[in-house]
Amino acid sequence: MQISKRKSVRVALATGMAAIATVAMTPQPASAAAASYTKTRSGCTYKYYSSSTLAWSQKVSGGCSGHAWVRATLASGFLTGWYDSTGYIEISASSSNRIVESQHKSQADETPWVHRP
Amino acid sequence: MWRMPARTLGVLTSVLLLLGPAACRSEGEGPPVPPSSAGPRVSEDEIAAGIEWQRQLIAKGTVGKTEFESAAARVQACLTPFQVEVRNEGWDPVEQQKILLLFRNLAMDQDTLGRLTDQCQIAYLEQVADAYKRGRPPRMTTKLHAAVVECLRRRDIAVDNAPIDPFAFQQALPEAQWHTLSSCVDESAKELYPNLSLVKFP
Repeated sequence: MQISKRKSVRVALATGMAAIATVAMTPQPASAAAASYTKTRSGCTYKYYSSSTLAWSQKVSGGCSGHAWVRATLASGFLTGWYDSTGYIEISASSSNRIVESQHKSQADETPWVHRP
Repeated sequence: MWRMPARTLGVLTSVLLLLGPAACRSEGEGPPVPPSSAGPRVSEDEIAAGIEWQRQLIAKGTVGKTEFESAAARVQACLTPFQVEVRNEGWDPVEQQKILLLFRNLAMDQDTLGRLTDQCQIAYLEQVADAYKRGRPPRMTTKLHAAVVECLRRRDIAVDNAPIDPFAFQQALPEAQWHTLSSCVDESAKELYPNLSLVKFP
């Protein structure tokens, strides 16, 4: 479960990196519609997908130990916990309580890719 | 021998890094430098105390549903001072390894909400949840499993002896059929558990 941008910054401090560098490397949200994003890290490839009813993360290739992570904010305003898997993980919501924001990452301590479908 | 999880170690390391300069500062060097982060946060003392509470709980022996539910209640109590509403939707029927918790404070930005919920879960739930999972493989509820198998049959996907472990179930099918499996889990779970806000798979 879990990690926020704040924690990522703390980790950056702990490793001697500039916090601003972590923020600067954050992928920017795409347009207000379904979107996908491919992330490469340490030779591994992760794919993310975000729409109003489905959000998923998948480790496509590579031998990294980092899992695929996803969490979402629903139209009701509730934020889910983080869910992770070694390969593929998805969250589906109903059209009556759709996903308004999803967050995706490739390891626990990482600034997530954020999308608002 | 108990080993401190890497993430816990990270939190404690950060505490030391934040406190260290203040502790070493001599007189006349100006006011203490505030933490680089602003906004509400769970105190490092509470996080450390919560992690110790988890360690002691786990050290007592088997972590069962009672202990998990106790930890979830502490997460809720941890978030109460921040006016964060916690919705407990019960055990996840797809894998039965965790309680589905959702968090809301409509007056709070999502980054702050995410940080606070992360901190409270690190303090009171993370290690208990990991301990609960050990020795309890993920498994669908019996009625969800049966509904998913029937759904797949209706879509001409035969699954004899389908694993009850959702991860194994997925791996038992070719990747081309994963979307159909996900759809069947989603439809079946929403029908059987209409109060769930979301369905997580696998």
